[in-house]
Amino acid sequence: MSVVRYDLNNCIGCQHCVTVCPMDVFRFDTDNNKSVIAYPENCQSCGQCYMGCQGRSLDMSYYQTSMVNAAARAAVPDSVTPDSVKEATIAQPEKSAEEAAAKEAEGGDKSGGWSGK
Amino acid sequence: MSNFMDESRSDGLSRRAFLRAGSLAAGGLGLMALSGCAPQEASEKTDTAATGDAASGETRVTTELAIPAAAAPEKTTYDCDVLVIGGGFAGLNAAMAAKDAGASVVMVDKGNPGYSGLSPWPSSHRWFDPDMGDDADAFKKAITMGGEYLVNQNWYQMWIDHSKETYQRLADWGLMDRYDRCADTEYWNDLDFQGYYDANASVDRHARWLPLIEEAGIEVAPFTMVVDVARDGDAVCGAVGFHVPSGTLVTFNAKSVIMAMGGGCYKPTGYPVGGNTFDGEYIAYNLGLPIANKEFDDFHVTTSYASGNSFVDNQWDWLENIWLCGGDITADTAESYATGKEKAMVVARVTGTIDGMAVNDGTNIEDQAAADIGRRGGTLSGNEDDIRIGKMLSPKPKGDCYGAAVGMQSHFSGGVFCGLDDVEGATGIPGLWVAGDGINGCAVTGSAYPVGVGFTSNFTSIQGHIAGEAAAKYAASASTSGKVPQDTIDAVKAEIEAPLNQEKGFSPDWARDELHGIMSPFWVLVDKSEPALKAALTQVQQMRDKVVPKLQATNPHQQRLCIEMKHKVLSAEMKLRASLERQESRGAHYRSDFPYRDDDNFLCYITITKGDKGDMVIDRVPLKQDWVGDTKQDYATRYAVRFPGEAKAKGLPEEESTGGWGK
Repeated sequence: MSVVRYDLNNCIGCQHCVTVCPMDVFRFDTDNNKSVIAYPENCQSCGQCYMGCQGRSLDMSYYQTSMVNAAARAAVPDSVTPDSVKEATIAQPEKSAEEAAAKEAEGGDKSGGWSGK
Repeated sequence: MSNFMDESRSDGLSRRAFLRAGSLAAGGLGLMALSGCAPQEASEKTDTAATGDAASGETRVTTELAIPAAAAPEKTTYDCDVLVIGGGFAGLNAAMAAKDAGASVVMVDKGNPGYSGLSPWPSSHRWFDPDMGDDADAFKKAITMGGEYLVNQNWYQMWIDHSKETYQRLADWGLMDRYDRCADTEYWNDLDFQGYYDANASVDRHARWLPLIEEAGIEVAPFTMVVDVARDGDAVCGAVGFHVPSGTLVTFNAKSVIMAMGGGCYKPTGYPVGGNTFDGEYIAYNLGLPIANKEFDDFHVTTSYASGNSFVDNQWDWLENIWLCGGDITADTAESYATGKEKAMVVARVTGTIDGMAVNDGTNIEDQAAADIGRRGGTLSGNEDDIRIGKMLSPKPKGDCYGAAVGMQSHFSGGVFCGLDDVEGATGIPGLWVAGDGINGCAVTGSAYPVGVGFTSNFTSIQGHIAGEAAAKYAASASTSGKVPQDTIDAVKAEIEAPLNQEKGFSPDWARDELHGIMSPFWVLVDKSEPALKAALTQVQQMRDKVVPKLQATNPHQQRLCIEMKHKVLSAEMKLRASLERQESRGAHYRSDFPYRDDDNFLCYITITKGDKGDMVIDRVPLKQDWVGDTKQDYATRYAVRFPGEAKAKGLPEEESTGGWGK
């Protein structure tokens, strides 16, 4: 499961999450004008509800309680956290630019050439 | 619980914190005070926030209200000329084409068009552009070799002929607007996904999808799962399903039906295809149609850091524009393009999975804008007017493990087989068409997917358009009643209600996990062998016989899951049987006990059809001779990329490492 409630107070009752969820995870409580995360066990963690949540009532959990099985999977050290990956992600464009500059300095093709894959 | 990539809670008044503070201030009134029928305006609450007490430490409410019952839809019977099942790219194009041709059209979708199936995540789109100098012979050479000689050349010619007009059609519909990738905006600084979404809301293709359809005069039945396609004699006459949130039976009377229902997976593990559960394939199989190419498995990857988290793996595919691709194959590069695809997309992932992976330290971030143009799928035309610059999503953790959607077919391989001469999606059942990825098993990409990024969203649109025109033409002169017989309605009603009446049985969520556990290990679908396939088949057959008849539901949501499980189990059995039948390795099907291509026996499509006694009948359909390349060619030249064990088995020199995906 991945969608989690950040704060139900923030739900403005727009029903965006109910409208976009392809997995039938949400219901809507018309009496209280609030969405309900009814079946989080069937969330596919796509985040469509979260991205368009106008009241900022939802969040995406990093933790995957039931969907970790791929065909096989590498080990991940303790040092890897959502924050560390976020930091590495934000830093990547600058890192890419440095790598490209270094490659150019070595006489490599600025455009990156063509690898065929 | 710490949440994913959430900003610090003490970071002052970022946009998000600003909104949150406002809501917290209003939230102080308590939930009861907030109750009402109309949506409240976020902006009003934001205004309140300016004077609100952002640091008051108001407690967030994270518990959910009780699950309420959903209201039944107002309309439960539809009448039309053409029923389109599925609202993705194929369904959208089918419905619009049928409407343009003068038919009355109804679209039914298990979710909401624009947000359901795999279509919300195309990320790239390619077309063949002769005006930019694209060389058709070079493209055909690359796909023939890269698809390992199982490519449906007639359908590939349709792509060459119709892909550009298809891009133009989608662009005219407002689905291809381009805007800055997040990494080039202020929202990158704090990975503000929601802020970036809001900033581009006016060009959000997802939100344009449904209005586009409805403004064309097409009726839409959302959140409705079709359970069966109905026939009146030989011909199709509609479909029956149920509105999922409320469990209400819905009937669609139609003169023709287009199944644009996608493919499926046993469980989505980081790839947003969870709503696709082989619904169309199940219906088609039980209508007696052959299901082809189940043995070719999709190789989508996710990152070990969050292997099951689709948001981590596909956030930019959804949020950013659709990148334009194509023009990346020339006469000089056709061969290396094909072998490059085979190495990177098949063999490297097979060997990488079997060998095990490097420890993922979380710093392996993929930046597509920094990749070479070949990998991006960008044009080599050298023409400054060529807008196909390639795929350049913002950086995200790099995928290193295969198995993002276990059970999913290699794009366009598996599904209903309509014959070698078909270029329409006509199933042979009068009035019934199939269109799009996962349901039309035409094998336009052969045994793998060597066509470059962006092919799927374009080609699936072509198939939809063609089927839409054909179905409308048929409906205009069809003598069919176009009315679903009462006994079909009664049968579907009994089928969807059966899990509710199960006094003792099994949870569909448990069954899903069991099936996933059987099918996901790499020795079943990546590194196939007879013992592993037979063992898995035995397990799946146990589920078929002992679990499927006793799936249990207590609400409409679970009714959907029970029916989906039935579809998944059938698919799994077909996949394992097809994998056992193909005693060779080719494209996205590797058998460690037959680690080589066998042209003498397997230049064919393997189909599975429901026999008279309910058994699965397996057939081999030989390809057209002019589709399979030069079979007299030297083996090592014809097949330039080696599977593990192939060189030894064939007495060929060992190839240098095919690893390409790296750490």
